[in-house]
Amino acid sequence: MSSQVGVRTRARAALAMEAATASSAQPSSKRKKIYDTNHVAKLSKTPRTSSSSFFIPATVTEIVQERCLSPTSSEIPASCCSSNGSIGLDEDRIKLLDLEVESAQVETSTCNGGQEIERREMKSSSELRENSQEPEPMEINSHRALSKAKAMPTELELEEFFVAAEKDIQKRFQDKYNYDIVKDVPLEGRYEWVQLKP
Amino acid sequence: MDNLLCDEVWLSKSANTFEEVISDPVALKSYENEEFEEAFAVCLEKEVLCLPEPDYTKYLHSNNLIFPRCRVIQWFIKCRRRFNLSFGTVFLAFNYLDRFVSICQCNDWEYWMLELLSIACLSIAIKFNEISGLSLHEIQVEGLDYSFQSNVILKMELILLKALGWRLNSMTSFSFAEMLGFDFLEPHHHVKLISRVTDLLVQATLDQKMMEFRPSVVGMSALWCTLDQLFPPTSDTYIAYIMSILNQSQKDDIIKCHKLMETQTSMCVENHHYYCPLSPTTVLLNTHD
Repeated sequence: MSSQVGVRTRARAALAMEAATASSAQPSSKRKKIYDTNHVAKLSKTPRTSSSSFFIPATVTEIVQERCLSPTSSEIPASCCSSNGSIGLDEDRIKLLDLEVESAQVETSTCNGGQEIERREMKSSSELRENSQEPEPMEINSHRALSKAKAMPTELELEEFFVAAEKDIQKRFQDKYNYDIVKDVPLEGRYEWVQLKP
Repeated sequence: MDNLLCDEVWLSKSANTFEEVISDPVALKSYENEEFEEAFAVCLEKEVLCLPEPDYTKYLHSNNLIFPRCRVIQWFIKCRRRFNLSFGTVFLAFNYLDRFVSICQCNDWEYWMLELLSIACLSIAIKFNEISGLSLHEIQVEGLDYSFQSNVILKMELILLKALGWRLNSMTSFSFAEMLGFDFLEPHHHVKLISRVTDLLVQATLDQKMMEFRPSVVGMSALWCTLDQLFPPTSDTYIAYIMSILNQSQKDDIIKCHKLMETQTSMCVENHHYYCPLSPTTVLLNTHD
């Protein structure tokens, strides 16, 4: 059991390392890319989810059985976690492919919002079927395995989001009452602050 | 607020037809009208404290958040059905989401941030408005691209509460419709009226053209459309009464919103799409992307 925990920790640490390295290299362009891929992911994942709800392909079942001692054991989550880590690189390729598909769809859309959404999903699912034939078997398997796992932002991304939100809240308070709580200093503005000496 | 009507008057009217009952608001004794009008005025004042910032719609546009927002709104609606939540809860969650996004204007919104925020909004709305709660694991069962650990969601909830100034009892378009419409009708008329009004309110929430109107205006417009459709003979009398207690600016907004809502309703019927954004701008926005 402890070894499994170790495996998960290393996988997450590796992902965090990759994210940190990439973000330090080119922060601004990296952010835009992340946004685009996420944007694509949210659309492309819908048909995968719906397709996977019907049945599990034989190949996926084989993979699961190979990696686990028994089908019903609790080790399945561990193997899923580790497989997510190993698929990290392929994930970027898949998202790039989806990005191209996405841009093509947007260019051809002339319908109202509702119908556009439906057609987009239909196209993306058909595109997935076409793409599934082209890549090698390994990519096919990893591609389908992805559809089950939900993405999770890194701790660094979460922390950045929380810090930015806290700053906005403090600034809002500061603007409203023209008082800087952190420095304990009144500011120019609506209220006049008088210091009390007990 | 819920007991604005005298029980005795209500019971004595129960045997009458709908037409006679709906005219009650106009025929109410003067002191009961005064009570209602005072409560209504208080709600209008309270409404202002729990609105998104001005130019919120413009902000959504400039940050490409119109469509992602629609997605999370639809997720709220799915959760309402799945967990049998009240519409009041869901509309509170809409309100928390919009207020937070307009307050904490991150430079780079990513979709996972919006999902995390939505989970927190729904969780808080459930704790505030429902009798029984849901675990953070249950909430994430379906319809999301991302999953989050409980401690992350709890931290998000705390930040959300700070941003909202802990003002959770928002006046929403649903609460206004509930106050104005449902309390004045006999129970056996509620089901049809409520389902129709809430459909209109959900569509209005998804439609960015409707965002410029205050919840009270949207709520009253939805009620107006529904009464026109379901109970036309009594609608004019009732709407005239409601209008009589509003100022000119509010009347103008309601007339404008009502006209827009009627247009959108007919478009919706033609397209046979519910809970989808109908505004053409959404399409153009996606095209430009």
